Amino acid sequence: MNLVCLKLFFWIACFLIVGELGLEVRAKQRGWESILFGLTTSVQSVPQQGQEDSEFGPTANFPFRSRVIPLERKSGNHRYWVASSSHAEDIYLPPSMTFPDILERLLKEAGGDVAVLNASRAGIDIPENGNDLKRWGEQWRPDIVILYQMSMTISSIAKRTLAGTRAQGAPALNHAAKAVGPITWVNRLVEMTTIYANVKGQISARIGANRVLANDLGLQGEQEFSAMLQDFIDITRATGSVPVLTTFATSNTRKHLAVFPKDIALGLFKYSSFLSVEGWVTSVERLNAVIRRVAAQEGIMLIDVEGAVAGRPEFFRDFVHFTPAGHDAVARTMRDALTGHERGEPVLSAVQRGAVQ
Amino acid sequence: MSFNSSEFLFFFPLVLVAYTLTFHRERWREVMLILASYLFYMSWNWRYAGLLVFATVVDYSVGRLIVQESRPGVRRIILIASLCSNLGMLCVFKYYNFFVELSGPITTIFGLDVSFLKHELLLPIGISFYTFQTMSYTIDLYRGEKVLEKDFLKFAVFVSFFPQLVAGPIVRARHFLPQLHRIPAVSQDRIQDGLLLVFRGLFKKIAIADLLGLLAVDKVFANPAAFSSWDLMIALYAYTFQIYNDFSGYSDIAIGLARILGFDLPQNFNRPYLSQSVREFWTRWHISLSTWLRDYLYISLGGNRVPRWRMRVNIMITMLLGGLWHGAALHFIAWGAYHGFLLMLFRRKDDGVISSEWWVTLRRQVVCFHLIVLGWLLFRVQDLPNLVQYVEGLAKNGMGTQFHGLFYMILGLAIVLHIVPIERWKKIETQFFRLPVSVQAGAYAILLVLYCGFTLESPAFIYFQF
Repeated sequence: MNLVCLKLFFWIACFLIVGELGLEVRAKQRGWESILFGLTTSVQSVPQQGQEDSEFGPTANFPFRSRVIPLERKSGNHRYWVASSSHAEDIYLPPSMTFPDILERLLKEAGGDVAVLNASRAGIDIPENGNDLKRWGEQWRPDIVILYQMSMTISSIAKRTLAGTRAQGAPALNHAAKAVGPITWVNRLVEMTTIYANVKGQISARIGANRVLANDLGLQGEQEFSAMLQDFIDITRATGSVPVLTTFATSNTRKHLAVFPKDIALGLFKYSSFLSVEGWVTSVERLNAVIRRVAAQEGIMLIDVEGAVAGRPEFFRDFVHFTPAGHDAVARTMRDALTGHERGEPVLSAVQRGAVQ
Repeated sequence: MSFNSSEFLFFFPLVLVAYTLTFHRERWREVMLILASYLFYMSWNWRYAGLLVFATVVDYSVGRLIVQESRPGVRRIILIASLCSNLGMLCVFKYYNFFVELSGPITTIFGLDVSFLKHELLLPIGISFYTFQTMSYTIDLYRGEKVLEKDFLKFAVFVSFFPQLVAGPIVRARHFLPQLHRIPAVSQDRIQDGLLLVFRGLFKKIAIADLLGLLAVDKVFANPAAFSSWDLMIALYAYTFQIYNDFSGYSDIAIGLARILGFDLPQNFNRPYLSQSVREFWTRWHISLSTWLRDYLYISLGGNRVPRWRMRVNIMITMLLGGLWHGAALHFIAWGAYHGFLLMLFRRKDDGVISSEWWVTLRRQVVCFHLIVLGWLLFRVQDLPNLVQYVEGLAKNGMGTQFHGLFYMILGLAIVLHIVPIERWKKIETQFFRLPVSVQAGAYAILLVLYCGFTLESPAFIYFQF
């Protein structure tokens, strides 16, 4: 046996490498991230060369994707903390075009001395938002913490409660289930390849659409979501900040169910293939109701982002992520609620009024 | 690190390069195979490599002692010690908690709570396979077969050989050890042949078994009440093909990987659902286990050379233990008992005789297939309420369907692939091998990429749990 015997394997490796390179070049041309030509930014990522000089974070000393400010605050300065995921981090847009930064500008225009810290990271859920707040909240001492989260929670709850893999011989399968489970660096590397991203989008999503899908998260989902919100509110208050909840908005709502865009449906199944399109719409409606209920129970301010932008596809590039116009609309909605803009109230008073109520 | 994981995609080519570099030095080659096998096994849980070392050392030593000892009584004691060691490992890790649970209702009568006796140890993956393999070695030696392996490294390769370590086929010493004394038969043709087997296995696992599970079966068995009688019935057929493709897919990959490395592993499946009797089914399904049970359990109990009633008892004991081998749960024992009952009930003289009438063959195949399918219901459910719910649903829940066309297509494909004669596949394979290597590689690369898309949640092989 010699290396020549392995030529079949070398050929396969060559095809895969060439295919990946080709797709990476294509991805670069389309402005997408790839292994060779650029990776995601995130709150925890190590700053790149020269990034320290940028107007925006994250940097080594400033873990937010927003305008860099010093740790020490001047008197009269108010700090807002936006806890979200890819909705607010939005690596496909410059930070100045995401709603947290637009909100900062609008609040300043309204006469407030404010800084908005964008503590959002793609792929994280409410408990991780809470952990980030615990980790950096005491240092950066935000006055107001705005939570904008839902789709990640729906995905994770659906995966836990609707996967439907019933154990065969419980103790044994618990072990077997772990056989492929842990995410290793190899998994991550494979998932980072453009081949994987393309195939996942084109094939997995279509297969996902053919599963037996649930039309609702169920009561358990609502209870879990409610508990997550409650924990986040407690963490916020423990930090000495005022929590603000927001309803969650999607590009398409119940009125679009009959003519739901295929590309948006496929995008849903790409990341979570347990809920039907109707299931997603219903879950968003029901969890928004949970948000309203928790806000009322806790006496905290609620910003109705759903009422302002939901069901208006021009504000979204997919089911849950905003276009620049969408970011702007969300920021204006938040500004109006936070400042009592229409009533000409000063910054913070509306929040405090909401908290008292 | 399963065969269908990303890690294995990196692991095996690295092993192959290292194997090629050490190929012409026997010792190095063996050490390399042992290292690779232990790395593979330790990727699940490094602690359990100790068990593998223990089984290797014990059975290597026992083998030598049995051959050196001439006194029958002492030989017997040595064998019993070896069996106790192997079965003891199985009992502690696989069956201990089950028996503690079973004794619960009895001890409760006396006011005792034994739940504190349960341990939290995870079942070491593949333990049922390698303990049976090492047991067969010592039993063969005890029976006087000339399979003694004096070379410890070769014996360690026999026990730990990674392609078949965690889910078989269960290899016999007389089949595998002689291969270690020859230069492994590696050639371009065998590599091509092995790689095709690997991809065939991956296709069975990912494109058929996993998809049948993900698109319907898992959901249906999780909540039978939510599905119609039609869906429940179809899901049962689907599970029948899911478990076949899952396990035979694994066996194909194992045999293919071994062939690439220059070794031959025994065939483990032979289109079992075309069997004309349950007896024939057991000569086509998980062949390495069924022959193991026949040779080391059924024959040891007396086999056919006993009165008829005793033979039936032997069959039942063998099948009950065969069921228990699959897992420490009552439904596996019930499945074993069901097959034991079928084997006793339908034991005919013309078993295995091929009928010249096609309709007789077809009738027998259809009847046998449905008896097997019913058995899989016992195998798949987790407990009695789940079984009752499923059976009630089969009788009451109407005829609508929640399954999509893709699911029916895959089920249809699974049936067709099972029915197509092996000769037809051989012809297609021969034509494929005539293509230039670069074209073959292109086809494999495309398949690899497609598999990435098929692996939604990439579940483990079903037989890993056994």
